[in-house]
Amino acid sequence: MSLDSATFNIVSHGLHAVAQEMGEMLVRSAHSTIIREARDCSTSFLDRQGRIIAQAQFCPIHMNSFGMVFQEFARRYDLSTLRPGEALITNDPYSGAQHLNDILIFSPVFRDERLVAFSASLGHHIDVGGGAAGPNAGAGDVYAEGLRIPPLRFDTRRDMGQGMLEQFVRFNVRAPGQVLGDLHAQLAANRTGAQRFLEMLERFGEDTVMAAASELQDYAERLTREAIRSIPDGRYEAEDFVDDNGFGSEPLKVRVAVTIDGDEVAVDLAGSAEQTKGIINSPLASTVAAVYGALAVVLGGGEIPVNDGLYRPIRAVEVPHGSFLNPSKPLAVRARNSACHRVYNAIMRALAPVAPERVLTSGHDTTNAIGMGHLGADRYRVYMEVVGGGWGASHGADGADVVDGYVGNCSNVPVESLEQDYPFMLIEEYGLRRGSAGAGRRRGGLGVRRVYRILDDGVVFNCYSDRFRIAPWGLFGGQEGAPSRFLVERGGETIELPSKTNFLLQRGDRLVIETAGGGGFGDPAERPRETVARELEQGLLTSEQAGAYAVAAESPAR
Amino acid sequence: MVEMAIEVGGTFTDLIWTDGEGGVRTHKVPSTPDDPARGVIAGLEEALGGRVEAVASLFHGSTVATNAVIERRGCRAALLTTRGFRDLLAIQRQLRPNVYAIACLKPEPLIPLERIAEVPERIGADGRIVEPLDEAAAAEAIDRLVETQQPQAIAVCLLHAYRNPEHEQRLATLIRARHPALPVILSSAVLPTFREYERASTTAMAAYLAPLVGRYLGQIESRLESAGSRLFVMQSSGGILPAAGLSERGVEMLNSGPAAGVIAATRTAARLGDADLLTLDIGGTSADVCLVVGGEPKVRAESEIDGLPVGMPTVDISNVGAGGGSIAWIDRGGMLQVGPQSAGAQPGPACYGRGGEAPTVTDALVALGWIRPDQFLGGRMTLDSEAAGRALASLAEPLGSGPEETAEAIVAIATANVSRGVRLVSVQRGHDPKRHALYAYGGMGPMIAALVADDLKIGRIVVPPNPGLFSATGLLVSELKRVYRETAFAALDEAAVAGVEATFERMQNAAAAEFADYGIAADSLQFQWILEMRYVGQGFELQVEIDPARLDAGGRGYLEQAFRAVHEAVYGEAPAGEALEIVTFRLVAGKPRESSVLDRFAAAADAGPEIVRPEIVRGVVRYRGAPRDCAFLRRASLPEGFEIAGCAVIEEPTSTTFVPPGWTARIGGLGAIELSADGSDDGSQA
Repeated sequence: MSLDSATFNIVSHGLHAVAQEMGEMLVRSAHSTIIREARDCSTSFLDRQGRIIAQAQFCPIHMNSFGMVFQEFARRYDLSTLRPGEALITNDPYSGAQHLNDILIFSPVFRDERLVAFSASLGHHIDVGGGAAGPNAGAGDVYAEGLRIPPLRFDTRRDMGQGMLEQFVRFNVRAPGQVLGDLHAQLAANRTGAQRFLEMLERFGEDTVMAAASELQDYAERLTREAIRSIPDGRYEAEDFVDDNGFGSEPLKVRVAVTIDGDEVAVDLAGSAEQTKGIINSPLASTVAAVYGALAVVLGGGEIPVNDGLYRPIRAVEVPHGSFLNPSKPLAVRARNSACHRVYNAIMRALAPVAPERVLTSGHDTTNAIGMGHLGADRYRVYMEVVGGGWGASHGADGADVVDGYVGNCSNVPVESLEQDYPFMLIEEYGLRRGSAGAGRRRGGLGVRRVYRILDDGVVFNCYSDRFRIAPWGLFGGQEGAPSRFLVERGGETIELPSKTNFLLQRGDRLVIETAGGGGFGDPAERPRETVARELEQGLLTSEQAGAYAVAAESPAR
Repeated sequence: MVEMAIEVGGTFTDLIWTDGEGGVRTHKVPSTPDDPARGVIAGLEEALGGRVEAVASLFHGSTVATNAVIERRGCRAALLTTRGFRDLLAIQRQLRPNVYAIACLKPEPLIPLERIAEVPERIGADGRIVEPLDEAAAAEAIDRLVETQQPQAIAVCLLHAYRNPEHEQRLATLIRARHPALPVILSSAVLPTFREYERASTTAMAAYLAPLVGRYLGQIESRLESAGSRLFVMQSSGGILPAAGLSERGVEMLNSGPAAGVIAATRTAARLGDADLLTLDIGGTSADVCLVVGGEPKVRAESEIDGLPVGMPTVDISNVGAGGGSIAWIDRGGMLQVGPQSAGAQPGPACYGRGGEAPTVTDALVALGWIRPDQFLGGRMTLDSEAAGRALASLAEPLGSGPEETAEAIVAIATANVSRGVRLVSVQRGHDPKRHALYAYGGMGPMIAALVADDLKIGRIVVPPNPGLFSATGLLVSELKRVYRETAFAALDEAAVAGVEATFERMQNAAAAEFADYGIAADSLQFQWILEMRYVGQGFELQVEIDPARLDAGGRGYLEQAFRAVHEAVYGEAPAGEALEIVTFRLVAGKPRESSVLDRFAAAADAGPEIVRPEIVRGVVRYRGAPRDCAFLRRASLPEGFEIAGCAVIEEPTSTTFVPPGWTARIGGLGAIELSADGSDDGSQA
């Protein structure tokens, strides 16, 4: 059916509002800090065939993978036989999901007993069992990372509460109150989404809503093809590296070839490093979601609605099986975000020469997952936060200071909330990491410096990060940002920690987290001298670093 | 004696006053953004013919604070904070507004890094002093800051000061001793609740506004003092306070204009028997909507201005970028969009004939015939309908439709944008809009109210008298009120229940002392107890209103039950048996005021001897794809009890009410237009 211009606008915005409301509701009713304060979750709305109709502004790595995990359910079950009250759940990286902490729930939406759509949510859960109360950096396989929930079809009334699913999960995680609270919050968010969607069907008619959803996909596709056409045809290659696998010091290569052909694009990751020991392998769904996410930034820049239509001009994403970007079962994958960020970085680098105004330099571009576990007298306390760093610079803007990497959008946790919830820590410092930004006409973003004083024995620091060895790079003459580092100050001694570790802290230790700054864009000499002078005054630039801008300081203001 | 209300908007300043003889008068003057107090005083003199001494009380609402933040015209403020945390205003909450955008820009803080200094001290989460304040080092930091930066106000925000304000208070003493002229704003006084970024941002904003707001109110007060009258100021919470209580709390004045409108609607509704309502205020650039339940507007704990959080109790108004000046445009993908860009007052919609070429919602309404070009603003301005047509044609062509279809599409999209805002404050908060009356005001609210109501299945609309001056009316009917908050973090056990009463009583005593300073006796105050509660582990609190008598009788069981009822309404069921905690105590202290302004408006509407019979002109409008016969009426000519079925347009100097087919308009109590849906036209509309 054809749609008039008003209906198309109204229904499109209405669909987006449904996904966004689901997400806000999940955040507001969740129990764990990681979802309620850090917003590590996502919501999406899919049609009966699993095509994404609308998604909210949360974590790109989640949102671009809802479709893939849906396909796995469709392979296993005849979804047309789903009944009201049933739902689908999984966290299995080898069934289209991400890492075990990310639990996805799809709720079928029925209208007059007829399946019409799916509302879906993903929550990052604070604990899923496994070898550590947080990331298990030494995990040899996915089994050591926690409880795997296979793609299950379940009945919310029968299997939650005293039922098998809830009880099974409850017995296998360290913070059952928070995990189950969050799972119920996900189910509630899905119910809300379903209700709002049904209200839309009532108001506009099912045919109209579905036609608008399909038109919205065509609309995204049209804009995406137009953006691809603006980039010259050709095959563009580049690489970037993950520091190491947490055991050795060998960097792991991500190699990409991006082929632009008219209004279509293909991405080939052949030549990337083999799968490896440790937790840095990236399951296929995460890798593909990273490719989609990177292209959404380069081609859409936030102005194209991200739905199934944006993916259509992506002709192929080749990821060799057995590489660390598509590992074979049962390798561990908890820190897959490091690899995913390098996929973004390599794509940016490949396209920089032909689309300089659409790309970013490397930022800290890492999920700095900072966790601590402590078994107190009363209960287990599990802390997890994503600590931001400097964002990449671009043609038109300096990199932002202290934000999450590309694949997520987690906020920080208020220090006053942290110290309330985790009495074993006191934050002594939380500030911009001065001098960490890469110099350039546009400078990279500043990283952060945070110091935790540990107030009790028996606290285990669990983390994964990256960009410790290979610094964030600049483009077009811009300089590198400072790499990240984690230190423990104990007595007079300073212990340098690796980027992926489980480390037993002692009472009195100072744990120092310093995250990387972004690389610069363009020649530092072209930066306006008054900007340089002001940042020197504010202490954001060290006098040593100001040397990079020396030419600018002597040249007249521009 | 005169009770005067003055509401300063971006473009115009509205004045409404009641005199000693039972009359009510209105006046409008241009605002003077360069020196806002000048416009207020000039308007006052002009309205009263210089007889300012006739004013007993002046009730004031102003966008001066809001504009100062948005346009970054506040003072050179400085911030003192705990050692290790000088960057908290720059780091913010680490969020990117658009996850797919290339450039990621955080809102610019009001206090830049060079004007922020750290002091050695530390208080723990439990309020105990971890590290005592080093006063010598603090004094040095203060002096250096003052000397090198010459701040005009100093904000102080220390970690966990909501729990223990001792160090902040010591710093205030130090600053005042060394630099007595500097206003000092403490976070523990402005916003004693946890979350350091939000508290620091609010405190910084209070300091940023302090000299400006103090000077502004001082100028008005000094003009009044010589006349012996008192100044009261509207707050974002919907209450008014004597100006003396507000000069260092400019943050409480933010967004007070829309709040005043909501209060006017609430009071009008109380008189007309509507306890549950939605308010819809549409002006030139945006629409404000708010939910009122049981005669009380919803108040939320925090809001945002220009991307910066403000932790002040605020009437829960949702703002949508849809107004009469909202521009219609076609985006790169070919989708027709309306707003959020607005043509504003200059150049304004194309039909204003002031050089605007972009088609706006007003142009669409002119093209549809809902606004008659020669009757705009009571005939004081003639619109150029040809210019409106040209502007619409520029959009119609690429869309492949006619100008009239395009006009209808623009109105439909603007309506849907407004409806989404209404849904946000109602459906998303667990309230069904169907059960509410829609109170529509502002220049444009009554124009599309019925369309919004159709969308949300609302059956009753009320358009008060003088809908374009409704915020100013609200100033005259608001109660004297202040909201107090205090962080608790107490698990809900028997001890905590006992503490609830004690805490509220202590807060009541403090409030009574403050109101005594305003000359208001304690026994005339009314108190409302609200607990902000959550399940242990949750990050966001729900407001639970507490009935002291039931608390006394039911204790913990009552609190649990009250919380669960609210939780279920908002989020649906939750796992039972989980522990609860009280995060914040909120006390509302208020003194109701009587005002006759609503009756006086009604009497004025009814009185005029010139009313012989309703003035009706027949015409044609376009509605839902077809021409419709339509009656055009002058509101002032319609007596109480007058009734007309749509299609009709009721015109008056500050607004226009559109009555579509399927609706009947009736002049009801207080001179309000009451619209009711009869659904008769539904079939053909769909």
